[in-house]
Amino acid sequence: MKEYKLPIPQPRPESRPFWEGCKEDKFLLQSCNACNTINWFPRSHCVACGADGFTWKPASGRGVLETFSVVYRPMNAAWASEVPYILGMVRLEEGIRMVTRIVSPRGEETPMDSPVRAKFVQIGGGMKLPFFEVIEQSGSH
Amino acid sequence: MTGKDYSTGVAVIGIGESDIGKSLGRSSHSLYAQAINEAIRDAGLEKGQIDGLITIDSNAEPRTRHAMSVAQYVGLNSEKMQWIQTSKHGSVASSGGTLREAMMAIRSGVCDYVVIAGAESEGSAGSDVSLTKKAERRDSEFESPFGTLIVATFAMFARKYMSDYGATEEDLAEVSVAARAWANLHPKAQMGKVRITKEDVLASPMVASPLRRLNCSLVSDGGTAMVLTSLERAREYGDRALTLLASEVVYGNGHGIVTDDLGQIASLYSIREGSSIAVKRALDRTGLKPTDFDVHFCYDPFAFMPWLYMEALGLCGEGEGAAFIRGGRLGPGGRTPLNTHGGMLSYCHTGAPGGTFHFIEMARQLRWEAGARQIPGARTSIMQGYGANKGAFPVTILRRGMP
Repeated sequence: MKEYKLPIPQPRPESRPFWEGCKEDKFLLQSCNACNTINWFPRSHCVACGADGFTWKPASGRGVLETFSVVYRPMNAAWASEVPYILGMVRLEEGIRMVTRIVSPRGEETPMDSPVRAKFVQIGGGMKLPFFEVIEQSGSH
Repeated sequence: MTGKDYSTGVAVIGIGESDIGKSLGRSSHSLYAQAINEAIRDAGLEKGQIDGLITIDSNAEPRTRHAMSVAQYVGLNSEKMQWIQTSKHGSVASSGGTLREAMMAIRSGVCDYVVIAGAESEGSAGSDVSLTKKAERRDSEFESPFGTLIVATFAMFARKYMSDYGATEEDLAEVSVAARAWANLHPKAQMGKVRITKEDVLASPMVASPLRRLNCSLVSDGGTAMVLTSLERAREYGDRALTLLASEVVYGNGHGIVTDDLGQIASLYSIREGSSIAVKRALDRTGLKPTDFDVHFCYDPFAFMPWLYMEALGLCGEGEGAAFIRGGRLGPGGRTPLNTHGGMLSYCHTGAPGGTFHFIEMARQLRWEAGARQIPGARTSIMQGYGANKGAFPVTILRRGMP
């Protein structure tokens, strides 16, 4: 495998379980033990009630593509081999939002609000990134 | 005069601007020195009278104590100095934040004469600074690994608007052409000598769809400075003083959700939602109406943003902004003149301090010193700002002369 030159997530203690989950193709979310609020991004203390105990629960990994952009201009030489790629905003069934890479064979013609599911892509450093792939609807070509 | 008898109690009494250009081969600090010295001269003051300095942290020349370093370089070392502050919030700072901070320093009675300044040499520093470093200073776990090229992070919002409301690439071109037409009237504008048509915009290469190169702001070197003081001290300046009628800021989209990361925003229309609340606060305080402004300013790194700001101000309804500005409305001779220096799209965009140039032009318009761009008799103007990854929205209103 060639050397990975793009930024690699540097997990903090509170987010390490999320990235460990990605290695096993699981999208894990923090649920507050005190008030059940889903926290996103990972935190040390609940964003709603301030308590510090969480349970990591697997999310469905499914959501909707709210919007996207096809990126043609690499921000630097390291990204030159990646373009064109799709940057998108996904809203998961659990209500959280993520800016992520979108895998869609239809590129610019990808419909807005397409259903998507997590697709964990191996990068450097033994990490996987949660990209999302468009689920092609039967009958729509 | 329309409106209530309300102001912040603070006025702008001096402005300064450095050379600007794509790549001047200058340090950021030298641009600070040029702009600050000019602003102090313009106010008829001596350096020793300045007792407050607020700067905007630099990407090209970052310093842990940036404002102290600028004070040292420029020689703002009066024993009267009360307050030296680096404003770290980039575009929030430049598009209204530092004016608000100066207002607080003066209204509290701590400072008499505050200089706010912003300068950057992003053009000289190159794209590794202007694009990569900025992108990588975002969240290192949930943003930069995914390729959050700054243009793309805005382009997603443009696509959403265009998809929801039927706006087109022609509508994007309309904004780019209006900005360029203003720049063509400004002797200092980076793109002052280059004319463009809608066809040129539509033929320019796609950067991050739906935004093409000519829908995107410039990369520049340059800096500005302003001197602010209390209304009592400003009175002797007469119509050369500009009263700060209102300075508001809304964080998040106004519903109590403060965000810095794109994945955390509450809405894909946070620009409109946040700014409309800031506008409402400013209009409520001043008693002004959306139609009371003679000349308009907004943060415009990308051509779709004025659509949202027209809606936020209440000049048209939600989703009507793109249609509202068709037919040259924002450009020279149009009914809603916007960013009459050419904005970030065509005047210059120095990175974090990019929004400060809008205030320099606003001051020139209200002092009736805008030359070929002058809106006759301009007295009242509004700037809708922006910042923090679609998470903060300052609104500023200035008026010519004293209340």
